[in-house]
Amino acid sequence: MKESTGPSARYAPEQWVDIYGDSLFRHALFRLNGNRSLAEDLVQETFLAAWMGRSGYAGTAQEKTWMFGILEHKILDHFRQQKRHPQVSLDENDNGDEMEQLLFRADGRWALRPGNWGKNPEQLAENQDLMEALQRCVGELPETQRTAFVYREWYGEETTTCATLLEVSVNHLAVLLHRARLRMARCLEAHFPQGETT
Amino acid sequence: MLTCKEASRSISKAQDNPLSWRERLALGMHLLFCASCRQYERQVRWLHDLSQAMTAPCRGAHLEESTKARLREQIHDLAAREDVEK
Repeated sequence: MKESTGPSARYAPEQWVDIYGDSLFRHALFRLNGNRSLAEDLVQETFLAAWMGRSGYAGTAQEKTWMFGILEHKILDHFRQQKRHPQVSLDENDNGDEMEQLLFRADGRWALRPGNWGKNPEQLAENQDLMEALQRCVGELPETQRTAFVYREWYGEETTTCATLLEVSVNHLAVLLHRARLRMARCLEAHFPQGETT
Repeated sequence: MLTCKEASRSISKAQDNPLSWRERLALGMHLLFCASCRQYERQVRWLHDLSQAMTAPCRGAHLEESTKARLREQIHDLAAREDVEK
């Protein structure tokens, strides 16, 4: 057991709402494109599930990560029910680097070359389809990669914080982020408006 | 000379932490000659920009006080019921 690293505290359930409420809510909002009432519902369900599961929670993950994991499962359940995100992946097995093997030839050169995304990223942010694609692609990442990517790129957490929350080394976090970015780039490319390739 | 596979790792790494001068030099040399990796570098930066743009509107959001009160009450009730059952 390592107890010295970072905020590994566990809080009494009565404190959960004040400690985790806003950040869980924000995460749900991000994932649900700003749907407040649905976000509230899922946060509520998360607290209930956490309550039910708290005796089974071995404390191997940071409490915050555990809570986010529950919420994320609720969100993916919601997407699955909606059938809008049919390819949602709960695949935990991301120890291989199939993506790298797919994208690079044996000599280390690109097998599939990155496409051209045009010149004006600012305009892309206004593209609703693309924003939805970004959500869908995040949902398709293997779970640990998704958590790493979301903590880092969406919430802008420092790499050391991300590593602590995920309980991995900083080096392994870099690997997770690298794989997530490769997948995200490839996935978004399929949805890209100017989908021309070089 | 870096391979594209190695360069793509450095590109990702640079997004999170400053590279050492040696890494920077190696990546710079590679990018000079490799349009595909320059493209990938752009993609990785845009992925970041898009993520930021997407999350910006929700960044200051918080639960309504009334919702928090309701949630607190719910957990409180659960705890109370459990105490009774004990």
